[in-house]
Amino acid sequence: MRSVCILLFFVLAACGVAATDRPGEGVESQHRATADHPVKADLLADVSAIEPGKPFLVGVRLKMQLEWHVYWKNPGDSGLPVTLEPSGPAGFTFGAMQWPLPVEFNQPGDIAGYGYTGLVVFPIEVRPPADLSNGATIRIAVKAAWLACRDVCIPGGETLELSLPVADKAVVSNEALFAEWRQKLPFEKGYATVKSEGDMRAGELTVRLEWTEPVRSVQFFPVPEAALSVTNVRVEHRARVTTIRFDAKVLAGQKLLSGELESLVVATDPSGTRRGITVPVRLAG
Amino acid sequence: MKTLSIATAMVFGVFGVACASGPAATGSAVVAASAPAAEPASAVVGAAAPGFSLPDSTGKTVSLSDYAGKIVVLEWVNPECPFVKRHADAGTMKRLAEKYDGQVVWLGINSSAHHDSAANAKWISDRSLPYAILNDQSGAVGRSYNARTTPHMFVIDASGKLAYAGAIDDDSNGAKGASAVNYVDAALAELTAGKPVTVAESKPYGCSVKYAK
Repeated sequence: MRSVCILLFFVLAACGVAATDRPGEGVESQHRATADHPVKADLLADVSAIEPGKPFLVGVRLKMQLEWHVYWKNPGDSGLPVTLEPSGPAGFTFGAMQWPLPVEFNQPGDIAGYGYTGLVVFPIEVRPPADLSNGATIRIAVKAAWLACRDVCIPGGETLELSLPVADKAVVSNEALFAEWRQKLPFEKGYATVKSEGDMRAGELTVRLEWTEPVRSVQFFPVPEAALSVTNVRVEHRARVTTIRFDAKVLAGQKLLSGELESLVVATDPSGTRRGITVPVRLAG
Repeated sequence: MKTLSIATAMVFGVFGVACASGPAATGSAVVAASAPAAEPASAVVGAAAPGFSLPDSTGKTVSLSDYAGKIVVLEWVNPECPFVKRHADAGTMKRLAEKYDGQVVWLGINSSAHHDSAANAKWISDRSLPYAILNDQSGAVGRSYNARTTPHMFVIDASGKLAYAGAIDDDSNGAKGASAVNYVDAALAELTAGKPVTVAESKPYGCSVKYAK
């Protein structure tokens, strides 16, 4: 459901977030692409020339002023996820927006928030058609929308554009930047073996992870669908073994759409690097 | 602090309240197994709604008990929040309050630490709101209801039980237009017809309530 939600927002971000109509706000209502908005956005590619039929990456980079944050796909108790809507010439297709590992914000009142501070790059795979003519110029656009929050929240958004020539061979660009942000994406698996136990009837679920090396600072980021509540998360960790317990409940009067809870577990490896793995948690008994 | 936060989550978890508020804090590292047993009166759907007495923007004290026997809607408000402004622009709350005028008591509550009654009075006047906004600058009432966002909506039935807790509707980004499902409208339609509320919980969305640090 969350993903449906995100998808929907994705699509509708094109129409502009309705939360931007804010009369009487002076400075704040002029947030789009203006100098005083706390988030600056730009669009980069990992190539400086496109090879026909060969996928490449674009990345939306958001630079936030000190103290400001934007939100992950599960924003937590408040906020809205960043949305990106890519578009290009006929024949171009796009992969899903990729979400780097989030951090947790401390908000007064124990209100959990998940997202990004400082700088974040969201990669999106672009798949060009095979029949591009050499020398043509291709324009890629990404409509980005976000909610920036500090002690106040300000919606932001911008359509970012990039023009790239077509060549016989792709020309690599921004290599270090894309490599750096690839490291910050979750692994599908491989860094830990995962077992989930328990079921919704009991109201408590347990996820056990055995890591391939000693890790620390283990964090659990669930992505519950709209009908599912995940609360009372407890993480116990010793060297290579982590046990995560949480209460899971279907909200009164609502229906679960999925038998699985998408989640992310992030740990800091011995070198001090945060690494994350996606962990699907079975909800059915 | 982390222990406290987990403990709070546990307390709410035990009473099933945090379900209305999305995921609780993520745990990090090792968490102490023992949780302090401190627990304020907390709002649980199906149980008696926590009582309160708060000043409105004219200084008059308003208590939940003043409305015993009536259906009451509580709307958590923050005039600076884009989500609150969006609904004010769309007339969502005002229209609903007017639709059920005479059958339902509608109260706004502002738990923002930095908003005094004058700020609430200004919001009422700027938006010609037909209902009072109560000053909860200390955040005590917000915390007792586990109000997480603005807006965060609570509906109390005529017997004083909490009948609904959650979002105003299923449209967090304000893009669905007429196809959005307004949970509070649905709950009030059922309650005023003498029926139980079908969707009694949903995840609230919006800005975080700006509680005192």
